[in-house]
Amino acid sequence: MNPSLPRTTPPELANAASSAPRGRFVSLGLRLAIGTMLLIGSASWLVGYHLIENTRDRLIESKSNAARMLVRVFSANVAPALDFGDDEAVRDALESLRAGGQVVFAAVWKSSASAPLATLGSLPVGGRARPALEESTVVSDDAITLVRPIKAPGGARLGVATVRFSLAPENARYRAARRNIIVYTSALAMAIALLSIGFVRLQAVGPLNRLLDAVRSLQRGRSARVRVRAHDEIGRLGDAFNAMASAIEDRESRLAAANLRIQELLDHLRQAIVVFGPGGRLDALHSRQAEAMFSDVAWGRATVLHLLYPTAPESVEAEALASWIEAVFKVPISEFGTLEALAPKATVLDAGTAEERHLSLDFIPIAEGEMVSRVIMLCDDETDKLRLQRTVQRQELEHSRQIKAMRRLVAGGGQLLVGVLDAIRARLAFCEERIKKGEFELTDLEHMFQRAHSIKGEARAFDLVLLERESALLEEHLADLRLRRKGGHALDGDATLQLGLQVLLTQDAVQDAEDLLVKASPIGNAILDQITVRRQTLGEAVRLAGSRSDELGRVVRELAARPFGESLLYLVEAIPTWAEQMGKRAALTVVGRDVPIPQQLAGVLTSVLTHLGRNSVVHGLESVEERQRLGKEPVGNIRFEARRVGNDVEIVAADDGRGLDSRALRQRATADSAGATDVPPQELAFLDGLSTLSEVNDYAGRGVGLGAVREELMAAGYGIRLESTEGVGLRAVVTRNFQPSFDTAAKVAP
Amino acid sequence: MSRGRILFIDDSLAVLARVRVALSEAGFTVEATDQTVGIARHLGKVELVIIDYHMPGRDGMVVLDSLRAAARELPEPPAFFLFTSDETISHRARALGFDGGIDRKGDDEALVRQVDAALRLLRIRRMRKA
Repeated sequence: MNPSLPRTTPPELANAASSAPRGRFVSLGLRLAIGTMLLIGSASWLVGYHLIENTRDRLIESKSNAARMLVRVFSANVAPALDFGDDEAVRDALESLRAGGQVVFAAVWKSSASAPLATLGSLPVGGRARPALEESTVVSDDAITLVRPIKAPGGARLGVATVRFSLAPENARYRAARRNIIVYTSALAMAIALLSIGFVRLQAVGPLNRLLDAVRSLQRGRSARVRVRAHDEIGRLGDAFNAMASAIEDRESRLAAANLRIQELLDHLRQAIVVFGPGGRLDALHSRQAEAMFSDVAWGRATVLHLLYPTAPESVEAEALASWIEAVFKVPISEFGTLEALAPKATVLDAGTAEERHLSLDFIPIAEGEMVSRVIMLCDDETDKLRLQRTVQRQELEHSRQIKAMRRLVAGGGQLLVGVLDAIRARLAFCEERIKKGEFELTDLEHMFQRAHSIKGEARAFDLVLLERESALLEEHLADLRLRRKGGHALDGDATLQLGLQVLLTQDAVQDAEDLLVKASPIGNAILDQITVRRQTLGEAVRLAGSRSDELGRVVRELAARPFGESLLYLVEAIPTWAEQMGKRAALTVVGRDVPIPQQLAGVLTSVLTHLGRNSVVHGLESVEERQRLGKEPVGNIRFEARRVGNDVEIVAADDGRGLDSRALRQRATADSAGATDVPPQELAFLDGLSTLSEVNDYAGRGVGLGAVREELMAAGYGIRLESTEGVGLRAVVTRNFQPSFDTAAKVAP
Repeated sequence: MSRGRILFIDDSLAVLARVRVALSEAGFTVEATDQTVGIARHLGKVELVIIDYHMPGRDGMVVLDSLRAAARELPEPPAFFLFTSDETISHRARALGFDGGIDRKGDDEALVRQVDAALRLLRIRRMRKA
């Protein structure tokens, strides 16, 4: 599973989380606290105010009652004294009021007098005037003033008394009571508010906060439940949340399982799979192959353009894809088919570097309603396939060219092509010479054009594709220059430079053709120096001058010599075939293909090398399994080499097989040829009728061979010796005038 | 079936020959020329005109202006792309009056991919306009 596959966030939660901003967050608890404080504070203020006012009223009422009673008693006491005109008694009565300490002013008037008869305390301003004979009570902030008529027992009004009582004690008590009321009311209000807030926090805000934490937890993709204890609206909300969370988790687990199945499916597909939406934005869903293919991409932020054109975001390719993506998400799904043809089919990552990768692209739409909502992109890395295709094409082309070159060789002899190439070189040298002059006359251009045209025709005749292409370009170039020259235009240095460059390219193509000829030739470089002569004429020349020791004799012998490679034409293909038929594998290496082999040796060499090669395959090389067990390369190597030694040649046929089995040879020699025990092991192999193979097959086992080979070579004036290292290989060396140390012919069994 | 019809204008015959081979092998129909006079007749037959930026002795911008003027009369005028080896010039192609740029001159595979993209871009735009 791809770790980048996200857990699905419930859309309703995501929507809730991403809802429109609603101003600064203010906690419900804080709002409830402020509201509660305001409410209880207001109520407390009202209650306190009422209590304070009530206290004051009660205090004043009480003072008033006491004052009224006192004044009534005073009036009753002073009435007889007033009635009898005992002013002294009146004054005494007034003085008795002083005893209570609360009367700040008192005065008695006779009903007939305007000035007071007697007074107590200092009169207020205007206080000397007799008040009305009516009963009255006046309460001010700091005093209660009572006016009472003084009546005789018969009811006659004798005078009037005014007594003013101080409210200072009451005011002091009132202030004390007010302070207490405020303190206690506030404390009570605070306590109630705190209790209310605590209750609200406990019952509502706390559970709501837990619910909010659970919602956030769920939003982050974690499992979340709230513990529900209250059986009220909050409890029901918690129950509803838990049910919703269970439903979401269930849906998520099913989605995750579905995603896992999709991811596994994607990961098992060969292609890298990427999903993208409008604007090319990459979806989180992608396959493991995609991560490997686009390893440097930031999947969370990238677009499909970053994937396909990371280094060229402004290129026309990127622009075309961006335009296509824009179009795809604006058309109905039914029109995708038309647009599909305009999508890129391939791209190259890291173009021009060693890490260049060729991707094939395919786009599949995903519909939502009638519109394309997302697009799946399938990317196939075709780099290896493409490389293989190119290699195969190159090899096919090479093979085809080689076959064609061989056909030319067979048909006309290598020297024909060599002659053609020489002629082409001469034509190019002509062009080169004219170009070096720097100025072209029309006739120069005509001549060069004709030569280029001839080169093209010859190249075509020999199927030399590269040379044909380069000479065609040269011809085209010259045609163009000729046209300009005919039009009277001067040819600038750039034109000359380009023409010279094309001549160089054509010369390279000639060299390439020659290299190809040498490569295809079994006699190597010798093909370049070979001509066809009549065998009969050559034989005559050898007969007449071949034995001469002078320069003429040497030249004739050289003329009659054949390239070493010519003796191996058949073996190049035969040796691997023999090995295959025997369940072995063998490759032939030829060194010195162009070494000239003297005529006498060349006459027997094919037969000799065939015999030696066959022996190597049959006796020398081990099976593939055995070679692997011995730590050797599975393919055995047989090497035929010719090299000049003085005025003569030495031929070596070697293999990396098991070498001569001396013990087996000795046993067979002892059994078959009494008296052969004194022959060195490397000479036993030349004994006629001796073979280490117990069974005769198509290739060996009859014991007829090396002895006959030696005889053939000796007839041509050459000898052969074997050099064997057991387990490492065998070398057969053919040289002139080699004499065996033993006369193996004398040991042949009858 | 041809993948698209292209008019290629470059002063180098060697480049033209190479481009002709590369694009023809990729399936495009190519008219390649080093002439800048009398080529307006080709405009009605091609979808894309690619003009070399550096043409010694000739001003690619003048060529572009004259071809644009000639193409204005056509019902479906071709797109004009600049051809250069300089990537920075290619990115400024629009500022120079071209419809886009094709760079990495000399890389035949890149040329084929870019020509293909330019034709796709042109066709998408035509489709959306329709």
